[in-house]
Formats: sequence, C-alpha cells, structure tokens
Amino acid sequence: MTLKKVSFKVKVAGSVNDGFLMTREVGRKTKEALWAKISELSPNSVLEMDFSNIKFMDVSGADEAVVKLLTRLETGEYPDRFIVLSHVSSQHKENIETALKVNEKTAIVKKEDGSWDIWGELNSSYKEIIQEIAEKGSMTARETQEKMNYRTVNEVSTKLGLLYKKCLLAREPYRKAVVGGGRQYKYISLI
Amino acid sequence: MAEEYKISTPKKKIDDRIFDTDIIGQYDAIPFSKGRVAVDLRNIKFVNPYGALGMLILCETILAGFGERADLLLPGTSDGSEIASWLGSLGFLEALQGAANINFPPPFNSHNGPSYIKVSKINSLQDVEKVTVELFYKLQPILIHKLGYREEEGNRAATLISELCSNIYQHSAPDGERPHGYMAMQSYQNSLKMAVMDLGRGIPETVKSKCNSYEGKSDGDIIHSVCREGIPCQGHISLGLYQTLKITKRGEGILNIRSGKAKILFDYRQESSVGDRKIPTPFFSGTQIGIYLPKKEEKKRGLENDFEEGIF
Repeated sequence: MTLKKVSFKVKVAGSVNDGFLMTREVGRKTKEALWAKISELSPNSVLEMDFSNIKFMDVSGADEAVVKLLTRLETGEYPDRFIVLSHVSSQHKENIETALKVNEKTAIVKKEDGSWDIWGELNSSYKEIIQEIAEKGSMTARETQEKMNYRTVNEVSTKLGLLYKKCLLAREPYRKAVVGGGRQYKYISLI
Repeated sequence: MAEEYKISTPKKKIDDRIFDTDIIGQYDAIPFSKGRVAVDLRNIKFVNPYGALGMLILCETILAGFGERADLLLPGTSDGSEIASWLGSLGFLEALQGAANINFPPPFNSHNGPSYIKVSKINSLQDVEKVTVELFYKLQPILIHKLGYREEEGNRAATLISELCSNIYQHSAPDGERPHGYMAMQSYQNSLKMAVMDLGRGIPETVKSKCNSYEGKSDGDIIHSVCREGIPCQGHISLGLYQTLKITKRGEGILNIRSGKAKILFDYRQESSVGDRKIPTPFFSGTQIGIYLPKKEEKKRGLENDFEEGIF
C-alpha cells in the first residue's frame, strides 16, 4: 500500500491579518478549515501541512491548529488520515513544541532538506521504531522485533499499535488473522 | 466637605517596584469614601512603560471607585522637564483622557517612536491582533540592530505580547463583560521593557473560577503555579504565562507579575541569585505584568546594580 500524500498550504482563517496564526479564536477557525480539508481525504492519506505562509504563530494558534487537530484525528473520526508538518520556522517550532509537550502529543515534521524530525512528547524507544520504519518504508511487528532485538512480538506490537493510535504510523492488514492471535499489520512510515 | 487624598512618591521615577509597592500601598490606605484624589507626580523625572500603564490604570480605578476623576499633577514643560512630552509621545496622556484631570493642556501628539511602542488599548480580539502584528514588524529592528538579538529571538518577544494580550481578551473580564487593558513597550538603556496590564478579575480569581483545585491557595502560589504549569481552561491548558516565563528565561530577563495580593518576580539574569520571589502586595484590581529583556552583551555584565537601583 502506498500512502497518498497531499500538500496543503495552511492559511489563517477568521482574521484580516494574513499569515498571523495567533489567538485561540483565529486558531479555532484555522483548525476548522484544516479539518474540512482532512474530511476530504480518502483513507490512508497524509496531509502535509505547509506553514510557509505563516509569518507568526503563537502558542494558542499552535495549540488549536496542530495539537487539537491531532487530538481529533486520534479519536478516529476520520480513521487512517494523518498529518505531517512542513515549512515550519524556528518561531513556529518554539510554540508548536510547547503546545505538544504540555498536551503530551507528538507530531512528525518534514524539514526543508528532506530529513524529518519528531516533536513533542515521545519516549526514545518509540522514536527509534519510527526511525527504523522510516528507513525501510514499512515493517511488520515481527520484522521490527527481529531488527530491533525486542524480546517478544507482543512487546513490539503494543508499541506499534500505540504509534498508530497516535497517528504517527499508518498500517494495512498484512495477512489473515493468525491462529489464536490477532490480526497482523504492516506499519507504514508517514514520511 | 469632601475628603481630599494625595498619592505621590518621594522618588523621582515610577517603575515596576515603585508602582507595585509605594503607589498601590498609598491607594490601598485610602478609606473608601467619596472624595477627591490627587496623584502628584510633579517631581518625576523618569517613567518606564510599567509605571506609565500603572498610573493609567490607577486613575481609571480611582474614577471607577470614587466616581470622580483624579487630579493628575505632572511636571510642567516650563520646569524644563521632558517627562510630559515623553508621556504625550508614549500615548499615556491620550489614553488618560476622561479618566483624570491633568494640570496643564497636554500634548496629545502620540506616535510610535524608533525605540518604543505607544500605549495601546486591548479591548477586543482585533486589538490583540493589531498590537501583535505591529510589534512583530516593529520589534525586529529594535531587537536586532539595537539589542543584538537574532531574528528568531525577536519573534519571541512578539510571542510574549501576543500571549499576554490574548490573556487580557480571553481571561481578564468576567463573562459578558468587555475586557480592558493596555500594552506599552520601550527600548531603554540597552534593554527592552514591556508592560501589559488589565483591570479584570486578576489571575487568582480567574484561575479559581476555572479550576476548583486552586481554592484555598494563596494568590502568590496560584500565580507561580500558572506560570509553571499553565491554566486548565475549558478543555485545554492556557499556556500564555507558561510560554511568557519560558521565553523570559531563555532571554535571561526578568518577569514581574502582580495580581490579587501578590507579586512574583522571576529573575533569570545570569548574575542573579534572586531566582523566584513571591512578594505580598496590597490588593489591586487586575493583573500587571512587566518584562525586561537585556541587550545581548549586557547579559555578561552584572546588572544587579541596575535592578537594585530600580531601573527595571
């Protein structure tokens, strides 16, 4: 399976000050516009939120347009839709990271040089899994277990399931359900 | 015959410390009754943005409490004082119109100067946006060329103002009432000084109304806590003061917050050994916030004396 990647330049909604994503009210309206865009996506799509039009973002704007959006995605209202942040400046970063950390959320950020980063709250073992899958493109739990020397498949399956719930990895059914066990998935990098 | 009261200071300046202690202390000592209040600043030679906004909200508080305008006595231009001219340029006198009787026809030629942003009202969401956008463009040359900041550091200062002014709009007024506050900024003596004030409920009351777990805590503890952790608010954590503290710390500056009956001073200058200080104050309406950010190379120098002398 290939994820469909859709790039979208974030525009400030509900303000005459174009490019200033600030205050909770403007953040909420911008979030609603972004959510409308997400609702148009087909399953297994990644919305690359391009912030190059945003000159300034405060922490309230970041909280609404990034953290609240992630929170809503995590509820599964539109399952298998994901977001990646791109063209984020150091000014954006400071406020996005604060909002993510305080709310214990995590976002994947695509950098302009093609590399990527993980912002927010995430244990290093989970970050390593995302890194490993990003290098391969996709991996099953068993492949991840073998590659990363986890003791059991269950241990790594739990971690992969959590990363999927946090919308940091996509997944597709891999094989029929194993005897006496759950369904197997192939986990796919958003990058 | 109506009682007459006088508020003045033996010092020659009005800054954060003098407003929070001397001036508020004198106001608090006035028994609430009908009468006239004179605010005598005739010997003043220096007013920083915090002092100017403080005197503005003091006059508004007197008008609201006594039903009569205070008599504000400023040094006349004939004394050779430049203070009236400065207060005119800063927009202090313009903002004060209707809230106090001033002892001479004031010059209302307020404008933003190369090193300051005039007193700006924060009464609406549009005001918050207007002030932040103005600061975003205005602060860059001051911070970069005058104070040696990098562009991203300059943006942080705009974040501070955006967050603090948003707090006025979002938190200060009780439900259904119009928020009311002010912001001013000045680059002075190799530093940047910003002040944001409102006449709302104040941080302790606002926080208690949103979260029961703060009941019974002192005003100082509540202010300290919201700066360290944010304010739980209607399904999210309001991070304005949290982020303000973080940016002040990164800038190795000072954050001064007075609300309710307490003042908290967060001092992050390199040489400072003060740290966080909770200082009891008399009660005064709303929230008064002052921020000091030093010039880059000034961080290496001892600024303890500047602070002790009350420049901040």
